[in-house]
Amino acid sequence: MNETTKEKPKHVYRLPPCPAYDIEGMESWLSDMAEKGLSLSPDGFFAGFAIFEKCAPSSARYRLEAAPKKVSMWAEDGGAPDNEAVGLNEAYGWRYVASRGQFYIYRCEFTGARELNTDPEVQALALDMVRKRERGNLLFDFVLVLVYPIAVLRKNLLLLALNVGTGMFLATVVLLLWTFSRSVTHVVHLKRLRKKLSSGKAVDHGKNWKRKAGFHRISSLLLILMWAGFLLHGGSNNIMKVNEQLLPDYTDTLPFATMVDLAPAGQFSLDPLDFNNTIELGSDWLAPKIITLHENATIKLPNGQSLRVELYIDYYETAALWLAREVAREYLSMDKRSSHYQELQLPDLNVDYSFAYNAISPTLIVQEENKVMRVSLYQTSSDYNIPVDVWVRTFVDSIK
Amino acid sequence: MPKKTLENLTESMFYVLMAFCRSPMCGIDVADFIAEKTQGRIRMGPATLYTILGKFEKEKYIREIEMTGRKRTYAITTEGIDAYNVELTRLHHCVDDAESEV
Repeated sequence: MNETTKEKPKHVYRLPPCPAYDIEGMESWLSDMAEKGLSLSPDGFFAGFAIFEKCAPSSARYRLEAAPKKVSMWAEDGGAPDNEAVGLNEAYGWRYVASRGQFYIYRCEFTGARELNTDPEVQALALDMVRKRERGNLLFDFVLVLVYPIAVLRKNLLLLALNVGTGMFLATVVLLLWTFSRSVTHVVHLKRLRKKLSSGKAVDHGKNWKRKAGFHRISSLLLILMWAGFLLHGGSNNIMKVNEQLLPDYTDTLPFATMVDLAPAGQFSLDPLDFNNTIELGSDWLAPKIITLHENATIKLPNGQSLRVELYIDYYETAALWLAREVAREYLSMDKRSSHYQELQLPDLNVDYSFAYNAISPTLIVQEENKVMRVSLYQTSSDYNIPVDVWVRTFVDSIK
Repeated sequence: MPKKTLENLTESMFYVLMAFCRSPMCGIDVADFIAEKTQGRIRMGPATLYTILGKFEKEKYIREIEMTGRKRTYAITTEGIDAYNVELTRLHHCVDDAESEV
């Protein structure tokens, strides 16, 4: 065929029936695919899928070789195989195709060509390098998935769940634990394979990969979809701020006091910068009503003095009373870590729970039945400031 | 903990050291030497050979003396000769033990 008219090979995508570290399964599957006329493309794998090129059916053999250095898009030259290894393998009929995980994939079209690995004990040494790297990764995953969240987030788990959404929170926990359990399986599998090779037993190139193919494909697909959903959901909510709107556009009555209630007789004007006056409405299984308000305004009082105030409110109506108390407790525990934290004395407010403190700005946490609210009020007027016990009572009374 | 060196050489490893005892070589020369020496009994796989070369270089049994394109030439070191002799003695003992029972 003329070089200029040569068509590009048609690509076919397939989900591998086994993980990258299952050397025996991968080798058998790729060889079986070659028999069906699908040859692994040099493009290798994308988003978990193997990319094949349509070709004439062949009895090509595939072998996976443990990479002596880390294969990663962040590694130098991406962790591509060493030139000496590629040259040596080519001299004996084995052509490098692509990599998957920490393994290089070679293909041989010649039936009489010698095997890539002829000494299982030496192959065990090569596998050992991958095993040690994966063990290091497992330790990193362990810290990231278990130690870090327990150490840092355990005191604010409910708030975290409410802010990201309980469904999303649980999905993330499942996703992280699932990813971690796969890492554990990975290391255990490599350990077993290494033991087998060290005892002199060779890799089984004809393993029945179909036995667990369905389970692996479904779980991989689910994992890919969950990660994609997780990234898209988190990204869109953070960047687009889908539930946020400008405060002047909000017309419904709020279930709590705002700045206008601090001085009803005054002349109220919102800060002209839009991003300083926003409201975000949310809903969750654990808290059917969640409101986050940021208000920045000036109030001119009848006596000529002016109030300049910045107000932050987090408001929750929870599904159960104990949840409201727990939200209040978590807010307090979080703010207590501030180096500016200083407790403020409050008069008896006749509510289920109330607490006030200074943490950069004066803050009130109040809970009445299933309603809980955290209010931070930052006053910057030089001529007049509302005393804490006055504004605190305004907000407390508004949710009773 | 000190780094664990190779305790016993496998047959493939032993033949690779034997090749370097003759002269400095590149990987393909080593494979050819072994095939010739064993009259085709051992046809060492290229990945096996590459892993052994890497391991021996790490253990300082061999050192790279030249690189031409993708081809590297290695020479045996004193440590490599020592390791070869230790294994040779061990094998002699094995053969002596076996023959004493015939």
